[in-house]
Amino acid sequence: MADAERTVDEAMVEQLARLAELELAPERRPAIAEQLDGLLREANAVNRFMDARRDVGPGVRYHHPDVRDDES
Amino acid sequence: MSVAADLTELGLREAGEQIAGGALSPVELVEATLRRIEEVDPQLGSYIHVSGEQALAAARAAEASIAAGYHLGPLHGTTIALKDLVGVRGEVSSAGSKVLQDFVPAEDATIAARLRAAGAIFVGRLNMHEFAYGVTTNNPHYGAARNPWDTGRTPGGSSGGSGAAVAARLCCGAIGTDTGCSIRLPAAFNGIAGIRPTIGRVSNHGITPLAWTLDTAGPMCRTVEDCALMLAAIAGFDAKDRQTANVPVPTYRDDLERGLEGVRIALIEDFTLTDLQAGVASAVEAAIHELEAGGAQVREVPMTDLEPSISALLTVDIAEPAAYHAAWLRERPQDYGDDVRALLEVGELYLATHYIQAQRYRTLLRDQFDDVLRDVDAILTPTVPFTAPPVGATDVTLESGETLDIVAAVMRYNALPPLVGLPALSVPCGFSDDGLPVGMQLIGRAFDEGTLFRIGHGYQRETAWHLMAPSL
Repeated sequence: MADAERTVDEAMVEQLARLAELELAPERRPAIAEQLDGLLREANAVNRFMDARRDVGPGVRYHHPDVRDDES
Repeated sequence: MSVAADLTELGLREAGEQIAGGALSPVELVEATLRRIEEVDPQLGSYIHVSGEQALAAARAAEASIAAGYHLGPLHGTTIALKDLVGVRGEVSSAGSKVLQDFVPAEDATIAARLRAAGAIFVGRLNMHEFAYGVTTNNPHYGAARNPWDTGRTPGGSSGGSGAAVAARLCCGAIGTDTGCSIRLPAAFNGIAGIRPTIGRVSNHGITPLAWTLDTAGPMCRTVEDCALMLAAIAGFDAKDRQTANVPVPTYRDDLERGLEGVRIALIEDFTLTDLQAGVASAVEAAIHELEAGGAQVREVPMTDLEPSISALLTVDIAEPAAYHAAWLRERPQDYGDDVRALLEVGELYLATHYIQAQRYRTLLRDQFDDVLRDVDAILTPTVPFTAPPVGATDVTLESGETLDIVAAVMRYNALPPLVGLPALSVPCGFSDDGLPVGMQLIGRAFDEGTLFRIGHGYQRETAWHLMAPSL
């Protein structure tokens, strides 16, 4: 993908890493920017998809409703 | 065929039955297994460490115990190997990493303790993708594991050592773990069976985590029946793991004998059989016909909202590992392999909202699976749309011509069960023209692994794919 089409650039990666208190050597930033750009594009698509379903919360029901986890 | 290969041809049930009946000595089985590992594993790299002395000592103890009348069940005296992230007291449990290369747990992981109590003999620790964070087992610290059907191909991952070792007859059965695909993918690529249990069915205590809300551990064996025997031994509530559920664990014997007649199986419309490599499509279609011939009722069902599944899975599977590894990533980043380090760094830069939206999507998807599984007993898909790529491949070109990163490519069908927390069984169902194994995936209701075993075993009674062995 051409740099101009990118949402995430090296400067942004540097800033985000600083916010996360993560030392990220300058030579690692281009590859991280490219990978993050692709992954966040996908993650943003999930965000937009879920915009239509504000009724759904984040609690994943792993079990049957009639199963209680703490019986012992 | 050598004597070693002869005895190691025995699967878990067969070996256990012969040991119980006095026809086979656990010591002979372990000796044969160790010889075969020595002969074959230099080609495969499936083991990180072989516990020869301990295994022989345990075999002698098992033999004495059985001779004295103390038989512990179908696993007693059989050879089991553990993925390197399952903690065993007194043994280096490195999770395939340099970071944990000196980590020696003080106690067994719960599943290791349960296998030990069932009389299983641990023969060694199996290679894996570093920290289970990848799909190839191309491990920078312990070497690449290789596929026994074609050693130029990957065995998949992250439980690639488990898949290769079981297929190559280097143990009766193995433990794998599955966060996004890591039991089912190597099961499919290596032509064996593997079950990802319901989240909460098997304890994760003592197992190095990857992503807490996705992680599961489960059996990888040559047959579905062997997987059932092993799951019965390791499953169940564990006070040391708050995520385990207090649900009774069946022996699965009744399920295994019920056969295919009347079982209801769904194919997902415009999804199950689309965009597959030709050899995968023909094998899965033939398996569907075989299931129908055995009495199963197969029909298509529509499912919506599957499109975001890969992205949602990757989001959770990037954010949670970054949280677990945060301290080590700052203290010793140079000790990680390049691919794992990059993913961890990327995970540090995600927004909280991305993670939350992905978790919300999981709820939505689970509701839909529950609706479908009210009317059918299982949902069938291929396990992977293609067969094992070459060792070192980082991209895969799909049948449509689209080239994807290998992690995203293997997730098409694999991502669904972890997102919804439901059990999924991969069953070998044929080979491509170039001789590589193909697997089909059966997804079931929560805590209903028994129905998946019923279908998988019913299929294996009618077919012989699980009896095929690689030439090594």
